[in-house]
This record gives sequence, C-alpha cells and structure tokens, in this order.
Amino acid sequence: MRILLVEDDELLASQLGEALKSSGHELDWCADGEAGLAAARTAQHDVMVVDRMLPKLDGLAMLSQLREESINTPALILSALGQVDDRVTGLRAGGDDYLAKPYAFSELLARLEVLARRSDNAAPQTSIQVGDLTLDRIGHNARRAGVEISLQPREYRLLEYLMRNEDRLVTRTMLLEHVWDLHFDPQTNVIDVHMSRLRAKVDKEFDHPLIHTVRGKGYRLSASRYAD
Amino acid sequence: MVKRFRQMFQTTAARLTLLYTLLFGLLAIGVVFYISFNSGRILLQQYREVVDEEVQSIARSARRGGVRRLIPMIERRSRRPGANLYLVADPSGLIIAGNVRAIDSRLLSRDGWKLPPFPYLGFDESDEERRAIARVFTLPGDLRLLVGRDVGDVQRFRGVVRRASAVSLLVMVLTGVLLWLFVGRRALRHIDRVSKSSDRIIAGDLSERLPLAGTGDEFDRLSQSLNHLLARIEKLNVGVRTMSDSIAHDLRTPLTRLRNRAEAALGQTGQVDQEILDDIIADADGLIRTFDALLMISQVGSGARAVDLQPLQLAPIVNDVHELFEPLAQEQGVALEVDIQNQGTVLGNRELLAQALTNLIDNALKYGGSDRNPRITITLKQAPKRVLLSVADNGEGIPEAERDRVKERFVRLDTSRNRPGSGLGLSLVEAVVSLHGGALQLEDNRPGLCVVLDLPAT
Repeated sequence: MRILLVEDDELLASQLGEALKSSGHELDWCADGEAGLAAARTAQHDVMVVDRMLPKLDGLAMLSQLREESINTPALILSALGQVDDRVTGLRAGGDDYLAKPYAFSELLARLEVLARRSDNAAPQTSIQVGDLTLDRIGHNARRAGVEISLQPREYRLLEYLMRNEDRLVTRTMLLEHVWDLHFDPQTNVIDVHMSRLRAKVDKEFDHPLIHTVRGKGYRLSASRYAD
Repeated sequence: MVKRFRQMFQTTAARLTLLYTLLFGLLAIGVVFYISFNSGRILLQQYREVVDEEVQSIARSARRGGVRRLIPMIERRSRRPGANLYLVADPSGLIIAGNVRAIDSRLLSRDGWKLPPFPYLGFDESDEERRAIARVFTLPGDLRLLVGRDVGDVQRFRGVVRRASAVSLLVMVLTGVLLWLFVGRRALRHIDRVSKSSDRIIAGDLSERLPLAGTGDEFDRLSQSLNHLLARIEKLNVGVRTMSDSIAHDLRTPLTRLRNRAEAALGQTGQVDQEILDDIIADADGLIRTFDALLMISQVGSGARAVDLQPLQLAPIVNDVHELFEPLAQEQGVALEVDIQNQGTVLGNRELLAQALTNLIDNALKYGGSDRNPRITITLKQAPKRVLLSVADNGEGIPEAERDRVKERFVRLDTSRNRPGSGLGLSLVEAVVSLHGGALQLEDNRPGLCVVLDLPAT
C-alpha cells in the first residue's frame, strides 16, 4: 500500500513512517497543505492521511480542492481538535474516515487498510465467499459448508463487514461505527459479547474458526489459520 | 483636595445637580424680569391715561375761563398731596406757574408726549434730580402747559424686584453648590467603598463582596447584581480548582502504574514479556480515554455553539442502544427492558444522546446490580412539552444526600471505588442534558436508582 501522509509534526510523521514501513507499506510525507495538494494530484497513492491543522493550506481545504478536481484517493482525517462535530465537518469536506488524536497505531493501520481496499472493489457483489462461508447479500443469510446459519439483522451486518474486510484487522470502534453508526468508544466489552454470539453461530460447529481475536486490537476474519 | 473636587464634579449626581441649578436659576431670572418689566409698563400706562385726562380737563377750563382762571387752578392742583407735575410757561420757556422748579426748556417747544423719563427739579427741600414722563400742550395765548408724573415709584419698584431676585438667585446658587457637595460626596463615598472592595477582589480575594448601604437605591441594586456575578465566578473558580485537583489526583494512580510497568519491562533481560507491554498500552489507553471524556465534557459544556442540533426521535436511539447492550446484560444475568410510550421528538444530537444513554446503561450494569432478579428498564415517555428518558435499576441506589455529588467530575462513591470507571460518566451525561436545555434528575426507584433525562420536546 502506498500512503500519502500530510502532517506537520515531523516526529509524529517519522514514527508513523517507521511503523508503516515495518508493516510493509510505502510512505510519502508532506509537511504542509500545499505540498500535500501537489503530491495528491499525482494520484499514485492508495490512501492518504491528512491532518486537519496544517501550515499554508489546512487539511479540509486541501481535501475539498482535491475532490473538486475529481481526485478521489480515499482520505483519513486526523484531528487533535476533538470537537463533537469534527467528524461530520471532516466527512463533508471529502474525507472518508476520521480519527481523533491521540490514536492507537493499530487502529490507524486497520482503518487505512479498509479504506484502501474500498477503492479497488467499488462494484457491489451479490455474495461474498470466505473459505467455506458464503454470505448471500440479497437473501441476507449465510451458509457454511452447506449448512444454513440463521442471523439476526445486526449479526448479518457484523458478519458482512468482517467478510468484506477479509484478512484485515477490524477494531471494535470500527465495528461500532459501521454496524451501529455510533461514533464513540463505549468503554465496555459490549462488542465482544456480540462477537462471541456471532462466533457461536459461525464457528462453533465447525472444525476450524474463521473469526480470530487479535489481542488488544480487534478481530480478523480469515480462512487461513493464524497463529494469533 | 483639588483632585477630590474634580472627581466630585465628575460624578453624575453632581453634574445633574449643577445643571438643574443653572437651568432653574435662568428660568427664575427670566420670570422675575418678565414680571417686573410688565408691571412697570402697566403702571406707566395708567400714568399716561391720568395725564391725558387732566390735560383735556385743563384745556377745557382754559378755553372757557381764559388764562386768568387757569393759573389759580394749576396752583391749586399743584399743592395737592401726591400731586402730578404741572407747569405753565410762556413761549420763551419762562415758568409762570406749577410745581416744577426747573426743566430742560427744549422739552416745551413741541406738543405731545415726552416719553423716555426726563430729569427735572421739584419744589421739595432736597435738590436731588428726579425723573418724570409728561405731555406738553399749547394753550390759547401760546402758553405751554406740561402735565406729567414722577416715575420714581416705578423705578424704585423695578429696583426692589431686581435686588430681590439677585438675592434669591444667590441663595439658590449657594443651596445648589451645597447640595452638589453633599450629593457628590455621598456618591463618591459609595463609589470609593465599592472600588476598594473591587481592588481586594482583583488582588485575589474572590470571597469579598461589595458593600451595601441598605437603602435599596440604584447603587445598592448595582452592587447586588455585581455580588451575584461574583458569587457565580467564585463558584466556577472553585469548580475549576476542584477539577484540576481531581485530575491530578485521579490520573496519578494510573500514571504511577504505567511507569512501574515500564520500569519492570526495562529490568527484564533478553526478550521483553509481551504481557507487560500489553498492560502498558492498556494503561495508556485508559488515560487517553479519561482525557477524551474530559475534553468532551468541556466541549459539550461550552454550549450549543459547538454542536449541531437537529430535530430527531429518541425512540430509534433507545432501540439501537438497547440492542447494543442486550447481549452484555444477558451475559451478566440482568434483564434489560425497554418501555417506549412515544417517539420522543427533541432537538438534539444523536451521537451525544446515544453516548449519554450508553453511559447510563453502563453505570446501571456496573453499579446497579441486585442479588435477586436484577433488572434495568429504559423508559421513554412524554410529559407536557417534555420528553422524559429514564434508566432505572433495582440495585442499591444512591442515598439522597449523595445524589447531587455524583454528578460532579471524578466523584465516585466509596461503594464503587474498587470497581472500574473514571467517575466521568454521569458528568458527561449532565453536560449533554444541559446542552439540550434539559435537566438531569436522580430519583429513588424504591429500590434502586432512576436517572431521568428531562428534555424539552419540539
């Protein structure tokens, strides 16, 4: 994944660069909005990370400009402001996701992978297949190894989100955002209980699990066996 | 002293006093002069009528009886007490009869009224010059008759009026100045007391209050409002201080824990224990969450300006949050029930209201547990112009005396000290409720606690 980082804090940028490189990604760094705009116009990045407050041209203005020019590289907005309506204004300006500082690196990486993936399969599929698990997106049901799994509406959406992001880390806040449309940290293990219910339906009767817990980070749905 | 006088002149009360004195004085002078001028004019008019009549009667007698009868008549009239002025002269100006001793002879050369008062000498002892108005009339035989009236009375009257008004004006100005001194000094004394108190307050003593004279006048009313303002500032100041104390105190424990873990990891040789690193990250996350909550409370608390409020229904939010928590409640053996009596339309922010409800259910699950049939009920109902959203449990509840205190930041009751939590949940709920123009009420659920969000309906 080739990532464009537009962030004026040099220390933070170099930390992020190290971490992204060690995860096998490539990073281009710009320290202000104008440089960021110029770099984004080359449109060779899979995803970009834009700080809201930038010298010369602020992050939101830079994004609006890019979207006007029909450059639709997925963008994640970083903000230290933490205003209640920040996320809404960020998304309105053309951002695709939003993360408030301070954030966990694993959370940022998980969101970037999901964002980058979103751009390369834009066409909706009628069914998703992961290993022996099939999700029917028209009938809203799932089958594993030919056995029908009955799902509650919310369980269906949970499973759909996990399957669409096969092999990728999905954090609890990402699940809360996409499945419940709630954008805050519930600070309890509510999501874990939902996940364990889903697991009981999807994995319990079968010889190897598809849903894996990534300790301290979230979940990953994968057909291959991970050593977590 | 000079400065003091300048200050006194600069007080509003003194300026008004001075202005009124000046205005009233000018008005009074005007009235006095108008009256004196007019009464003099009326008096002169009367004199002229009397003189006209006499001139005519004398002229009639002169035509009938000739000059022989005229002279004794004039002499007779001249001797009456308080008589008019009479004078008969020959064409050369030589005085033949009358009670005038000397006069400017040019006055007699032409008939008619001699109006601006002219000087003359009478026959009384004093040689002082007097003034009169008169009419000159030519008699048969070319004799000149002058009939007139001394105007000394009118001038004396005017003089008296002018002197009296001058004296009263002086008295008035003196009274005004005295009044000004009194009023100005009183106002200044009051202001001085207030500014002395203000200086002490500025110096840092926020418990100081402005003095009241107890008269209920405008100064007292102003001081009272300022005192209310001070009370509010003091309360906020205490709040800020308590909060920073609490932050320092409550963050010290997790920071110490984090530091000790990092030290332990540093002390390990070779491969660092993964579990210690996980714990360190968990500690840091906890601290970040606490800061996030604080930031959120302060932003929500800073008012509606920062947050977009839109008409929305509470019922779907209640259903979403209920659905989110239901499995967790079930796992803990708690019956989580919903009683939606109407849609509950309010002007609000979905995220914040959902988070407030989440915090309340989280609290109820953590602290509202009962040994027998634990049950949490979320109720949405309508009251006149209000929407009431409540979360009730059947646990231990909160003693009435503690109910206000638990809304404050970082406050945790002793019974919950050893359970997880930051003590910020209910503070955030309260901030969200007041942002929506509502009130947060903690009630007795007999047994248990019932938290009510009382929101204005739209």
